[in-house]
Amino acid sequence: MAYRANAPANWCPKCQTVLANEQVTGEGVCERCDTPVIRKDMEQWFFRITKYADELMQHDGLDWPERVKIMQRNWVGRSEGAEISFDISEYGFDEKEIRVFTTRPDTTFGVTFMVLAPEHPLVKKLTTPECREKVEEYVDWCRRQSEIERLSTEKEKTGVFIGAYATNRLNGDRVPIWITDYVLFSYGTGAVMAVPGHDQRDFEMAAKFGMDIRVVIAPEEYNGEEFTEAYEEPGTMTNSAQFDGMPSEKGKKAITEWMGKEGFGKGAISYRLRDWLISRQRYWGAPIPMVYCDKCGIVPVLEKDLPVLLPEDAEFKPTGESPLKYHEAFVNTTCPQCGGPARRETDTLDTFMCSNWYFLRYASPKYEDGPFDPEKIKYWLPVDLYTGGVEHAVMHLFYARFFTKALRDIGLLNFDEPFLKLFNQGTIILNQQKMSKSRGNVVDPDDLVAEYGADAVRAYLMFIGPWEQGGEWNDNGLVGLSRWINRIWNLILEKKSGTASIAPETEKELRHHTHKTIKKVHNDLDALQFNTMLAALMEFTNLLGKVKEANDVKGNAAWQEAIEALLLMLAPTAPHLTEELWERIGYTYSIHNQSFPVWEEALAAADEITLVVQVNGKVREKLAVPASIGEEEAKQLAQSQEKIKTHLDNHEIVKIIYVPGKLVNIVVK
Amino acid sequence: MSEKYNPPEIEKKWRQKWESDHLYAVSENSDRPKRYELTMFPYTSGNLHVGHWFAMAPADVHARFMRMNGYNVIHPIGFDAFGLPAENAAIKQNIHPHKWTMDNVENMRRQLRTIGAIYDWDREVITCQPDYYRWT
Repeated sequence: MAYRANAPANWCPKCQTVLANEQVTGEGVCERCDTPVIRKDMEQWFFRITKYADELMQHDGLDWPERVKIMQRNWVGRSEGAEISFDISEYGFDEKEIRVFTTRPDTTFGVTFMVLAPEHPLVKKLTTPECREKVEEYVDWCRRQSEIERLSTEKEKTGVFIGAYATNRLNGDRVPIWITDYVLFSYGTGAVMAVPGHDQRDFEMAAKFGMDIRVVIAPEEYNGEEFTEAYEEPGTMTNSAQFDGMPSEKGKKAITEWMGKEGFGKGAISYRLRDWLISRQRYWGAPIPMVYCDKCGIVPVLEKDLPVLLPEDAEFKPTGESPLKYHEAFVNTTCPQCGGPARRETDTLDTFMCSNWYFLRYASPKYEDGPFDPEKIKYWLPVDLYTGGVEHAVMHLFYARFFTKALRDIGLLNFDEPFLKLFNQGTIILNQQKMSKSRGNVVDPDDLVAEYGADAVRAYLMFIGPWEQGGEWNDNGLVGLSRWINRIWNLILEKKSGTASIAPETEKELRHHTHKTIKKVHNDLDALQFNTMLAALMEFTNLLGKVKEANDVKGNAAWQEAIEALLLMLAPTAPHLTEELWERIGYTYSIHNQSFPVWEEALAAADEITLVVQVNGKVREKLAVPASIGEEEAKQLAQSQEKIKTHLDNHEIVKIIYVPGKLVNIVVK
Repeated sequence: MSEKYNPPEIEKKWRQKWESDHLYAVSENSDRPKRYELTMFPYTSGNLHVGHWFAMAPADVHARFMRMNGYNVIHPIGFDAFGLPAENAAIKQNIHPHKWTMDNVENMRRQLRTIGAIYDWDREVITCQPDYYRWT
């Protein structure tokens, strides 16, 4: 799973350190010291994440946001196409061919030149003496470019001819071999067949350096005119021997099959995903537990000797090399295999290594015989609901899935996916910007908690907008929520209330609203819709306030039911307040050990309206009906009333007018 | 009127009681169905702001809701503590990354406690501690 390999890295000669692609500016200089960055091959540790490329593209059975799934699929970047062999046997080297990957095998008859990455090992061999000087100059220049710059589609195309040719076996054409910076050795095979007629980058290259542009896919109603840009869409194959006239989409398969039979190439799949580079030349990380022994080579540290402790007394200021390299007590060790003198690996692990399995450690955080207790993992995992920012869509969530699959394959886990449901919350905005320390627009919760209480801050944040969207922070909003919480406090503890005894209709309405609110709050919480949940609770508190103001609620069962439900519904949002009130009105500790209230469907739905029934525009009856009543049901009900029947006798019904939620007017003659 | 609502006093009182009662401690010995609700652990950058709360408070509300619905809910918390931000901040402020990180953990723990979440602090995980990274 882990291996060591040479890989090109962005290297700043002045800072003496590797830089991430993002730390290299558009001008190809180090963002810290403006020194031109070069590409340097370095021995580093990798994880073979590409082994899981196909599985990581699948999200079967996962309740994840679509956009995260798409980002992960794009990250893997699987593309189907063909690997095609170009003949270079005329030069008499061991290498008889150059292999390229293409997603457009249907355009292979349109190849007019080939391009190799400047780092491709064949470049040195194939370059002719008269081209040597120019080629070397160009290769040096490319080394000074960052990957981002090299891949930029905006910039002017550059490249040089190396003096050699490759033969396109499909039509026998000898095409010139060039090198250019936009082909990277670390992607695919490091070689590209250039089809300027049907690839814009190749077109620009050909236009600049005068290579042929051959049309092999004809657009609809094509009259043979010259292209002014590459035609990249599907079309009809032309100038392609026996494939002429075939739709290009169909041609992809046909040409691949034919090449397979002839031995020119075969169907292939390519991935954008590369193996995960886990070495870091920095101090603050977990040491890579490997030892280099002159006799035994690279030997892993024995499990009983883990962890390799990060020495606290190392000079950690960046010098370019791994800080641990200069800590002699750390570096010098004995070989776990032969016991002879050996040196420790001095790079540290990418911090993502540590942060991508923590969810497994929670199951048994103090377990000493391994990363996790298998029994406890079996009980707790996988994670049922994972919530966090969408910025972790690719790196963290992708690596964590990779870890899970790798651990499964060595028998440590018995599930395929770590997170069954994923939810991305939105962000809190202040002054039109995402709140963050680096932007200096943060609101410190400590003062707010001291003034308004954590419960008010919690409630306000949930009321600020839908959780998946977030919203703009506003102090007045918090004040509003704090007032509401105070109202609840008073509603429940204030002894004073109205004097009227509660009428049966009021009681009925109260119960209806209690059950309706329970249903709404339950469903909203279930769906992580906190803002609408709180709106329902606010509406409910308003109603309770009105009832209490008018009536003597003391000892009333419907009132008691309503108050109890209110506290229980509010308990997840305002845990402290509800615990206090729960105790003060005489219930037993703790409210947080209670069950969430359950609604009765009949009570929740019993929203009644008055349906007026008219005959020829005159009111003849008023009916109490459920608000949810449908048109047919309402018309039937109206006609079946005894009082109405008497008005209908011996009359012909011309039409029945229905106004939803209000009236039925029966027109007769 | 009986008494004014005094959140700092009430909140502190109950947090202490819940913690000393281990009200939110969870174990595998339960006849309730298990439920694992996870919020992404914070980086030890120093101070929580309300943006962190926006990630954590609603997550806690949902975890509490599921708890009230009869689930044996684990809703753990910890700290992502290794990496460049700590090293760069430590260099800038001329203190050791370990000290910088652990001071921040201390402060963030205090802040996280004020949220009033059902975190089981006995399950806390900190990635820069040897008993954690020995297994990485």
